[in-house]
Amino acid sequence: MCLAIPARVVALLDDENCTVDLGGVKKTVSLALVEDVVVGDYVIVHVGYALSRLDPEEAARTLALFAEAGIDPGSTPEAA
Amino acid sequence: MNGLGGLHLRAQWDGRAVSAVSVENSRPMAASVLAGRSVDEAVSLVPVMFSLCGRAQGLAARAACAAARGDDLSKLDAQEAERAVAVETAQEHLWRLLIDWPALFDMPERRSRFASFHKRLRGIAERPESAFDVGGELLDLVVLDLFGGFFRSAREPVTLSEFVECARASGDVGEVLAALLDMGASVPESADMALVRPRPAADWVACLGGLPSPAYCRAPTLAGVPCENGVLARQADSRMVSSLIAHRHRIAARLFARVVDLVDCASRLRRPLADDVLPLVDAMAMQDGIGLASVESARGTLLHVVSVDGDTVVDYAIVAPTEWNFCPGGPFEREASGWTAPDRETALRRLRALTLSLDPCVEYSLELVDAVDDGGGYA
Repeated sequence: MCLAIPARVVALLDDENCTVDLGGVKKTVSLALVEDVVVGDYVIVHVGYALSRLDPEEAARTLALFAEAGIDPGSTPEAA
Repeated sequence: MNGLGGLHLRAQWDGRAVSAVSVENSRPMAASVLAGRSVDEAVSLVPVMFSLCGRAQGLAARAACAAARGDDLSKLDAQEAERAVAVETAQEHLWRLLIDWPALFDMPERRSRFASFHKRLRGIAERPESAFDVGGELLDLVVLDLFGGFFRSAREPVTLSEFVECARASGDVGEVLAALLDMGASVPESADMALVRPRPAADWVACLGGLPSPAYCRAPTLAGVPCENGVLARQADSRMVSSLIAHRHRIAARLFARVVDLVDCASRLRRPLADDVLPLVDAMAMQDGIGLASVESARGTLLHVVSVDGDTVVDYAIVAPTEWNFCPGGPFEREASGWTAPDRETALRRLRALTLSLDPCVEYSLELVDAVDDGGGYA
């Protein structure tokens, strides 16, 4: 029941990795489990892997939901 | 811990044994954000709210809401639901078996193998006809690779030494299993624990009696008794799992049960909804306007209970496996202390193995602190 905070892909790296921005914090994650990710996409991240890709509308809706619940993406463990 | 909360696990090392343990669970009860929304909105939000077991969560929401509204549950696509949960569970089990367990014992992680299976499994959603073949590949992985030694033996191991011998002759998971057994019995004599066995939704309706309170969701019990929820509870009838439990090697039993559960997923992908097994998704109306769904998810039995008024969600409760396993008096607390270890490093590794075997669905931190006496040494 880990909450799915969308992280925005800001750079594609070598070896199926990318840099994501999660509430202002940058982190390198693996893209080995998802396909066709481009810069600007949102992904759900768990312990170093992008698990799934979201379209921007879906990501915005999820972020709004968590904001309403008072959850701050910038302080997620993935961002630590 | 962080903005999302999580588990903080703290154990005390006295130089010879882990003498005390505490669990702080600070994750938010996310289901509360669903109250006041339309039923359709809630059903569409749930699968995107959770990064892990999103499909199981989504199916539980859909089935519980349908039951609450008095919809015809037979109209839900049971075969598709069964396949979706089996896919998700297999992906989670492979993560543990190919990445997390080898890493804990300093063995190579099999990332490319994991990624390859993960993608094959995900593709089943678009090509359901591939489920039979992918299920077969999973069976091959277990029989020929992860646990080959057990299936090459003339007979199943009976004694613990036979078990270790068999495990050593197996693949990566067998080696991890042997290492766990070498660490010694993992459960204190007094740590027997009741199990949340798979059961129809009707049984849960009878057990809960109504919408569970936030306090129950945080620390669920059966008739007031803390229980273990997860693969061990689900596969406790397996002869080798029960043998490991009897030998008080409960961490190893959970690892073995995860492999058995992976085989079960493969079987369900090949022949979903077989007559002689319970379906992975079940639902039932509790009373007018209240519906319950139970889903056998990767981490154990997941319950959603929803109260609706027309098309509006009035109240929503989720009872997740992690709360069973990390609540006061639950399996983590019972097994994390009361045993000795030759050194601090071994104690910490066993605590990590215990946590991994219970597979919490949230981020966690694990801290082993030294108990000191007044003189500054170990108590």
